[in-house]
Amino acid sequence: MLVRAFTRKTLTHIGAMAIVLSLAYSYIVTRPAKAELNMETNLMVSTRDRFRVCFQAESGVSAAAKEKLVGSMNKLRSQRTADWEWADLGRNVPVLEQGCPGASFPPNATAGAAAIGRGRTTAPGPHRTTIFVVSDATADAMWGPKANADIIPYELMCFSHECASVTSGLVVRESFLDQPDFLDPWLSISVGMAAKNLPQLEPGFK
Amino acid sequence: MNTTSQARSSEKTPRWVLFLWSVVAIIVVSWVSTPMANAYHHDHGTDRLHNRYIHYTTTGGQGVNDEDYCVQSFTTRMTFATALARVKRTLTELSPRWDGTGNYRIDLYAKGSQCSDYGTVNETTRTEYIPGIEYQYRVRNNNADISACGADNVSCVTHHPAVKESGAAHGHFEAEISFLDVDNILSNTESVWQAHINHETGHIIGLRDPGSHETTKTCTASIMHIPWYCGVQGYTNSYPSTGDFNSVVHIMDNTD
Repeated sequence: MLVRAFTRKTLTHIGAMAIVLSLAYSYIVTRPAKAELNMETNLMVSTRDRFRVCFQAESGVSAAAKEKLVGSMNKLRSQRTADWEWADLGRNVPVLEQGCPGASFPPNATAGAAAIGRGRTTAPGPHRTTIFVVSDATADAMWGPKANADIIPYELMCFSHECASVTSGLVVRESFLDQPDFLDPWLSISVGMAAKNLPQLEPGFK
Repeated sequence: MNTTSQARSSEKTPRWVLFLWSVVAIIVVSWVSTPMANAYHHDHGTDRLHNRYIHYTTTGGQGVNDEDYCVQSFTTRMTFATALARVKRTLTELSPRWDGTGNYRIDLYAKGSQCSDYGTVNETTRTEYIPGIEYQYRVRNNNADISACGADNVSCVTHHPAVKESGAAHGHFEAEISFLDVDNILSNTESVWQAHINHETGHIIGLRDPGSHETTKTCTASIMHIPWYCGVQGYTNSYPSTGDFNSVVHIMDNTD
């Protein structure tokens, strides 16, 4: 019999070992994964397993804005499939998820806001890219009539005195969604694909 | 307690039980201290946070793979002309300098106007990215409200936005913004502002502060190891060291 083979004390030890092992195992399977910056992939954060995008529109923006965005994503993927896949964006266009958690939207003049989302964090969210569509009136108020879009950090991971934007925030005026320049450079860079259509600025000098 | 139970409780724990406990302890420590397999990739420190154009060059004059920079002064304590002159002198006139590193894979060209003339840069709304300009140097009174700086009298760098182009071994950044505290670059002594501008530019091209990615802080000869971080062991030259240039070429070559 078991009791004969092991003393009660020995059995107590074995039981205690089993409890310790089961507690340790339950800890490792339930603990939240620690986010690490990972530049090997364009997803940028170790806790992200696929390319995810969230979307938010200012009130008053047409419901068609979301369809236009989806259309632009499809066009970008089909025109530059190899680049799309190289940038770890997956095989298909992602679903545009409604609402971006922690968004400071529209990106107003709040002092200290160097980001339109959560800013500095050690636990970035699941979205690699966030997209905000603003009315032309809001865009004019923010940028004046000349600018159509901007890419602003949404979440940043920081190391000493440098921060890396790990979640891009694309802010775009509604009337710009149909324009070719929106696709490249703005949309392409906001998802992490290098632009093919950067503007030609005046030459610089040494 | 009878005699039999007294005898049992005073029995020595068998050696194999003690051995089993040590095995359990090793298993628990390894489980708890090891990150989950799919959640951890070690950041390569100096090799990853950098502008992407340091890998490429354009032959025959200024081209798409060169780095354009602009300067903006948000303070009345330093004019745009002075800010531009100091950044330009540091980057492309004084020697040794970052410009030309790696057979001109770092090839720096100044823009003649303030950054806001090329984008909608505004100190209040923090509009960030200007297509076609790789480095921005923004001179400000106080950087306490900038995430990377976090305090007055501190300069810092934000890498943004990230991209991964076809053929690239890793992701890197399309552009960087260096937030320069005006007090760091206001001195009449050239070497003082030169050191700060070279240090922040070191961040842009991939170098890190001491202790930011290492387990122990090292203070070898480097423009990143200035006395502000390393005290009396700090590097006191105002320009990059030979080791700094070697490190940047190593990053350019992806030789980690």
